[in-house]
Amino acid sequence: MLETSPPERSIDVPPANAGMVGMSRGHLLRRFGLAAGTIAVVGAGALSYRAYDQGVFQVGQGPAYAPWSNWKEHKGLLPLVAAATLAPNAHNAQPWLFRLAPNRIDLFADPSRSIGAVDPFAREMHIGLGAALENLVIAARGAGLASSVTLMPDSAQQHHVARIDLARSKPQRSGLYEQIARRHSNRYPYVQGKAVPGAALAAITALGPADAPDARIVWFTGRAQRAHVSELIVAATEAFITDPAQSESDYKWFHQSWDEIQSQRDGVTVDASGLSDLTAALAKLLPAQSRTATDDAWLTTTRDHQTKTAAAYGIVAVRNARDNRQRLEGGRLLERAHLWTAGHGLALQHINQMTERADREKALALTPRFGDALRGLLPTDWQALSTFRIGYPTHTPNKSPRRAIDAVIVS
Amino acid sequence: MTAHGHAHAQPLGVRPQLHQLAAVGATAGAVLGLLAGISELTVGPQIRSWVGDKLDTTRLGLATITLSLIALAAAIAWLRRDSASTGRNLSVFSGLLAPGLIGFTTVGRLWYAPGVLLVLASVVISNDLRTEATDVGNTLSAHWLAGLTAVLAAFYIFLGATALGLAGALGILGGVAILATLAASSRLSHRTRLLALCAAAAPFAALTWWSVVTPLLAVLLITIGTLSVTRNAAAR
Repeated sequence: MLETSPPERSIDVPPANAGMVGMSRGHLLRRFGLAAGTIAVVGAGALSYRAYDQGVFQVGQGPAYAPWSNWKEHKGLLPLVAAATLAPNAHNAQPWLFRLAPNRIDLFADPSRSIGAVDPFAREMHIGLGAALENLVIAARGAGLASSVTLMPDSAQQHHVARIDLARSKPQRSGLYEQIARRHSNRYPYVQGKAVPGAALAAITALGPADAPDARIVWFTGRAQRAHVSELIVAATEAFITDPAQSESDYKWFHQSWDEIQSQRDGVTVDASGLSDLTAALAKLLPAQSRTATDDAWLTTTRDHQTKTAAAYGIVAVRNARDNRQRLEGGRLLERAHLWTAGHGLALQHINQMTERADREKALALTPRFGDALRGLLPTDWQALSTFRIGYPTHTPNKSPRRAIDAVIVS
Repeated sequence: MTAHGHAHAQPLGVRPQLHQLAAVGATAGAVLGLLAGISELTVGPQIRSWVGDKLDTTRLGLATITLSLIALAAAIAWLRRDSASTGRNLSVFSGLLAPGLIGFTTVGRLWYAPGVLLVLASVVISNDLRTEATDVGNTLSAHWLAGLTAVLAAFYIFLGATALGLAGALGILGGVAILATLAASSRLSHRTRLLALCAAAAPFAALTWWSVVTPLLAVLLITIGTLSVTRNAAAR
């Protein structure tokens, strides 16, 4: 049998890495340099797209923020409703619905917008509704409509929280009216060591109308008083974030995606959280933060910035914090205070961890640590409804998203 | 027709029919794209289902118009060319394909016709490039850094358009100035080119330093741009 040997490999066949061997060192380095540059440019492109997609350069812009600038442009009674929707409300859940008639607006609570374990007795929901009602009444006066408000007009319908009958009158545009779209919760640190003058606090106190004697503001201005309230707020924040149900309910309303903000138009956002511009940009560019990470950031901000720089604390107190009428009156007073501060160069932030924990303790029949603490802060026969801090701003606060007016009108 | 008219029409006349058709198609696609962008910008909120249900129809409308103008410039250059160098073919190819594809993400259904026309035209011109593979390789290699700088400048313009306000205007102007510097590179002194790069890149990055993105882009623009113009100067 004739043996055949495998053909020998031709010496002319170049080795696999001939290209590399034939290449000078300089040429090779240049190739690597070009590849590195290309990768860097591709990475920069991805980051640029992420910045666009997350609205890094579009703070306060887009349809979700349009109601702040166009609320007066609607027809008929709609500007009144639009003004109401700009009111502050817990977690920006916007728990309101409006029904319009020729000379009447009815305000309803929207229970589908409950913030769950954060507000087990709908206390904050009614405060927000009261604030919306106050904006509506101020806007009505500005539009030349006198309003007659009936709170909880139908005992059979607990969600029907107010009826506002309107009649023609002379337009009265107060200082509060001008602040409706300028008011924003300011979660940034305030100017440290700059006290709010007593006259300003007295003016805010005087915003409580004579016809609502069941709502008032109690102030905490001295160093020791502030330190005590700060300590309680930080402790309440710690208790809040270690309670999984409250933490989850809170996180559900924290929107980190720009698309989500623009489509849902509610909730708490990075831009409105009082973070520095750099931190806010990083928070948007990086992947969405986990619940634990946002909880930790919230505690740090509360402890190291917000409570440390509060010039004063105020507690809106009522005779009976479980009475919806008094809650609504408290909410109206709180909104007047907020509008007043906005018009006088002051900053205000609602900071409700203590009352949220007190309600949670009650809901779960726990030892009333914060319930007792709040009782200790207030005069006898008064109950805490809502807490806030005020001071002089270091930053202009950003807007929160708002739903379109069509989404809050019912027939 | 005048003699002058014949001379002007000649480049089209001598080209293969398919190329002529594709160039006309690309022009039509760019014009249709321009109309799509104008529609998105003006009546976008009323025809959301036609513009891909976009929320921000203003910015995306502007982006669509910009992309269409780039495609139109490429299509006109293709129609008017009298010599088809590899570099020019490559530019026309990129100028048609990139807007043709990106437009699908900016304006939804209204881009279907313009997008298809632009992409098909780029496929036709890619045939030329395939037969000139070596030249394409050399051209790409010679202008790679300039290409990267142009891409970075485009990112600057894009982010400037999303920022609006003074910072946004500086971003757009900066990006355009960088592209102009690259285009006029041979007519400027080396020092002027470097100064122009820095002056164009710095303001937007300085005003929006907190964004992280623009300072990073500025560093890359100045680094890669400097290497590009230095290399070109050395080559000359």
